[in-house]
Amino acid sequence: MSKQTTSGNKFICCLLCLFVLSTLLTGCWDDRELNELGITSASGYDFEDNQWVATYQVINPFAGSSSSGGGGGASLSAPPFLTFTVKGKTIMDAIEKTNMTSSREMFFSHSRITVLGEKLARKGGITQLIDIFLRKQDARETVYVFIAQGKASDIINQLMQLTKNQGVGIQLMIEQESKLVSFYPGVRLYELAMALSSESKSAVIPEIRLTGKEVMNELTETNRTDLPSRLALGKLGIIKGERMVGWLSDKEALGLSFLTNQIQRATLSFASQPKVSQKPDASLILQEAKTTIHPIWAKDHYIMDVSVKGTGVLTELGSVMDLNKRAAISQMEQTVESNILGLMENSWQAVKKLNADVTRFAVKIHRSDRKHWKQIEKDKSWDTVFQKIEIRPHVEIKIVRVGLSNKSFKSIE
Amino acid sequence: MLVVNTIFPTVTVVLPGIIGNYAEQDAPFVIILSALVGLGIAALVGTVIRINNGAPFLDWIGEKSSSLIATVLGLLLLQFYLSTSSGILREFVNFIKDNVLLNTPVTVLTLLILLITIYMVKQGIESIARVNSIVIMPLVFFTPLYLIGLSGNLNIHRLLPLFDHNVAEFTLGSLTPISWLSEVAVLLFLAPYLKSPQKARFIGWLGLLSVSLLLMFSVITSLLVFGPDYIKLTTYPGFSTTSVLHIGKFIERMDILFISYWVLSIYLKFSIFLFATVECFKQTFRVKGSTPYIGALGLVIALECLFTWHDPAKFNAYSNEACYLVFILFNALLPLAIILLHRFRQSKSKKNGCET
Repeated sequence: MSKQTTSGNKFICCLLCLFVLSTLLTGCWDDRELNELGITSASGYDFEDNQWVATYQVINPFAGSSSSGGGGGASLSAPPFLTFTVKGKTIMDAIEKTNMTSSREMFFSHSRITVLGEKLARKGGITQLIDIFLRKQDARETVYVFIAQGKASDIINQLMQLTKNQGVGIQLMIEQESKLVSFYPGVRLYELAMALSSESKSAVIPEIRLTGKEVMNELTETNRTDLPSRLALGKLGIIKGERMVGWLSDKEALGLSFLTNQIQRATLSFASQPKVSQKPDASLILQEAKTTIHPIWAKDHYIMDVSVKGTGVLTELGSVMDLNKRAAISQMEQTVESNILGLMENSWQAVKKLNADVTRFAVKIHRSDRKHWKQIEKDKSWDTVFQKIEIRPHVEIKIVRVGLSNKSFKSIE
Repeated sequence: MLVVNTIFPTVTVVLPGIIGNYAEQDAPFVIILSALVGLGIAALVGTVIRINNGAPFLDWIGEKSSSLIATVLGLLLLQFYLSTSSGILREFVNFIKDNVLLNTPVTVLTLLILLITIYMVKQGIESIARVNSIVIMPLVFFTPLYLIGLSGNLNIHRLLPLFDHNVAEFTLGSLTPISWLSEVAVLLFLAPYLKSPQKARFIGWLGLLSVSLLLMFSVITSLLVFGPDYIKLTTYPGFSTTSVLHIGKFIERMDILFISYWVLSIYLKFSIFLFATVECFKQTFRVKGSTPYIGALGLVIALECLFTWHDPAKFNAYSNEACYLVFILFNALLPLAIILLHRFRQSKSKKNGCET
């Protein structure tokens, strides 16, 4: 009888425990249902009438897949994403206002890119944006940052052809660009924060732009082979402190990539026989490049000893040359080297003009000459010191392969 | 391994930020300095345990001095352990509230954590120690994953220039780490459960060395990834690194995995401190069983956590600037005073022996 009572008590205890524990399965106060969330893949920020204008790109769950086997209830005519544009006195004010226009709560954890309008960047809104990304729990500091010359909202509204999720598409674009061409580095938000909080207090942000004037935001408009307006990477925005101070062209940006050791791979066009013609007729893929910088104090100014070493493969040749001869290769190497020197020199002049240390020379000086750096910091004289810096670049490029042909096709002609 | 989890969880979360603020890229040297002092404190604690041969600490104090002194000391230590445990609980709750459960009320989180920890303490120190050994094991998996995932972001030059800070900054930077490392003194209340109390000093050293190495690893990787300036901007630099780690494009944003692991280890830390609090209470008031008191002490800790530390600014100010005084007093100066008194008595009795 007592055994029966004990097992009965145990059973009641188990039932009670199950009941109590089942309350934990609700996820407490932080439960989130997928069909209540608006998953944001990109965001854009502008500044108009003294207010933040935020545009959010939300993945449309009802958009169908173009490939077979799309989800049930999905519509092929629905756009892959929807955008919401809201205004607010602060960024959070704007974010909260999306709840007045959307049936889903914005969820930023899957954001891939964020675009700033040039007006906002020049006004000095970057630091506030960085702050919110570092502070807000569901914001990701790994998003890629871009600047748009016009409105950031136009970029966010533009559809892409090869990728339905535009945010992911732009992320792939910048990753591919920095891996294969090296004009612009892909800048993630935490890298931007790192650069702006470093000794240099300057950073770069690539431009994203529309190649045409129209914004392609209707599905019917993308049903053609050659879009009149596409998304493309443009120039390189230069940020100093809180504000954007100017742009670098693509060539100047490439020179900066050499100066800052950010070349992963690059294609360089050059004149194969500069004595005969200055017209570029050959190409080299630079497969490896390493830049080392040594600051040298020369009594009243710093000399930056910049050494670039790299190897590449010849991929195009438009002149008559015998590539079995070392002299021909050496001549091309010298031309490439002088081209790189020119790129770096032009870039340095442009950076100096903007007076923004995106070359990170301040960091180099602090690391190699800490006593002098302390004095510079104490005197707050970095801008003056920076203007007096002289660069002494040396380039050493080796053409290690010439491809599958030892002679140019022109020599057969 | 108990010593490791007694110190490690809060240390990884709190310290990189605090040390980074003072010493920036010189933080590894601050850790070395703190570890050396910590080893000294472990030696003091180990010596006390060796002297009393693993006897319950306050009972032994009562025997050697008077029951009044033991009770007064017990009350002070009880206050210290209650306060420290509530600090740990607050840190746990703050971290969960900041990173995972943003909308769940603090009271619910506090009570839930407390209930689970009370259950753990009720199972006894042996169960805690066994679970602790299991919890330490995944480090073998997490460490390589962490390093491989971050390999593309590590830049050794971010540790330069070395020795960029003066002695004052080194000292200020090392005060808080020393106070956290001094938590090794919890061994005073775990001693009766040690297999060989005579090895307490060695156990303390081993534990502290492991914690210091793990802390060094955490600080150096944070510095290599973010550099000294960015670290100052983040509340939890150690966890910020996990949000940028990725392996190819298929493994990324691993923060929740590392947060889950951290939650496991902080549960153990809190349970060890609650256990020490209960032991301190038992020895102070000379009671036998602990079951009825665990809940009551837990409630006091929860109330202190909810009402004393509800203001994050106040809690941070205490953790960064004030706590080291209390920690050093109870964890370092108390064992030192006991050793000195013991030596003094020994020499006095020797003298008396010689005279007779």
